[in-house]
Amino acid sequence: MIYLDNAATSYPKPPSVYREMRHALRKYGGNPGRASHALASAAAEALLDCRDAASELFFCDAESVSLTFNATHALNIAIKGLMRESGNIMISDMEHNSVLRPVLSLCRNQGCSLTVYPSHGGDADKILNGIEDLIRPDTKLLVACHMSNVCPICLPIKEIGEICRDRGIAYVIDASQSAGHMPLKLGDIRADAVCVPGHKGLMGPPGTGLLITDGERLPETLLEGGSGIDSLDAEMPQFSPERFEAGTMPAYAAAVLASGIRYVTKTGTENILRKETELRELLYRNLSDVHGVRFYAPHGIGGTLMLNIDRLTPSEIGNKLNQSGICTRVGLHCAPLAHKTLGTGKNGAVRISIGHMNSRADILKLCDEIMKLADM
Amino acid sequence: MNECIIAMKSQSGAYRAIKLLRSAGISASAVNIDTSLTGHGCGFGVVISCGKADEALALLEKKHLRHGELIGSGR
Repeated sequence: MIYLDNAATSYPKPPSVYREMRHALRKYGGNPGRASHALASAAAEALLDCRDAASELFFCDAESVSLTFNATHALNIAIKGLMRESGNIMISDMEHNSVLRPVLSLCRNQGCSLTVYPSHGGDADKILNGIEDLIRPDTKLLVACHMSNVCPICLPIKEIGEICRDRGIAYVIDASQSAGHMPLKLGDIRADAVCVPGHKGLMGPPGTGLLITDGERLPETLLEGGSGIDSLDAEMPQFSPERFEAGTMPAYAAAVLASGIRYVTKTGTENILRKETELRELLYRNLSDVHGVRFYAPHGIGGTLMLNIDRLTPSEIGNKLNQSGICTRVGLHCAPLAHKTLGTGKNGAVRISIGHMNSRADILKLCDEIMKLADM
Repeated sequence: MNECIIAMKSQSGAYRAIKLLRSAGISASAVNIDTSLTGHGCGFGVVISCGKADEALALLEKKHLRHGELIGSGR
């Protein structure tokens, strides 16, 4: 099997991650942060270790790292927790439904308005000028995806953060497709919340994500419940990570995620980015002249590329690739805004998302299969 | 060995403190603190030898780890 659906979730995981998974539920079987007995302490230390691993990779304060169920969970906390009243929210035309839907929910329920700023194919100057032009007096929140989930377009998150700081706008970064795939030094970036999945580029297990709140504003909570401390207080703690970790945290999953993060740190995000970019470029080079194969915004960085083949629907292509043992993802990829921007909003496309574990041979095999389909 | 407890403001802070103190060669472990002592519900503390209390507190403060009072030192 050739797995090319890494934008959905990474596979396979590094051997160290599988090893940790095998033992983690027994090793960290206590409830972290509640009792102080040996098993509970071991579980709490697993959470601490996961925060430390994230801090080392992202150059952020370890105590600003809260464990979530996934990036969508983190984005919901960030977006809804920072936007507690009516006002204008700006998002890019590359955003995933994990951003669009919470924002539309605020528009319906809280009287917020939505402005979509253009990504201009990743042209940083045009993006920044577009944002400046579209900011309104009532703009209170801006969300930017660092890397698109359908094509190799990247937004200038640091510079966008500077605009938000100057204008007093809360700023959320969706790093779902960049974390673990490319360098992300949060110490250099001014953001109120950075939302990260654990199971994609960080090579951890599904059911994990991170909310990093290293900025000036601390979001309101989305969930409230037990925190292990200050039980008589009516409110959740006023500080991270406990503020955002209501209920029992999965210490075993945090331990496995820490193992994945340490693999990424050791491998080096520069090396990961270089390899994924080279493999995507190899794919594009080999197929760009093939009659009937169409690409959408194929240039940029990273390992994601979208295509269609004339006379075949995306589902037909995906199903035929699947029969050849190649896993891709077809349709709109939960990103209707991005597909509309790229002109594929009606029927979507086939997404090839290359991961660090893929090889040159994987890509050449994919090229052969696509050439056969284009020739049919 | 007389034991003292440094009350901590958060459970993650308690485990962060334990890691820090152990790395400095100070034996430390987590302990629950009674509600009657915290006044606002369940609390977490770090148990250390009273003889190491000053050194431990200085380390926590140097690393900006928020803590509460020192319990059991008699001061």
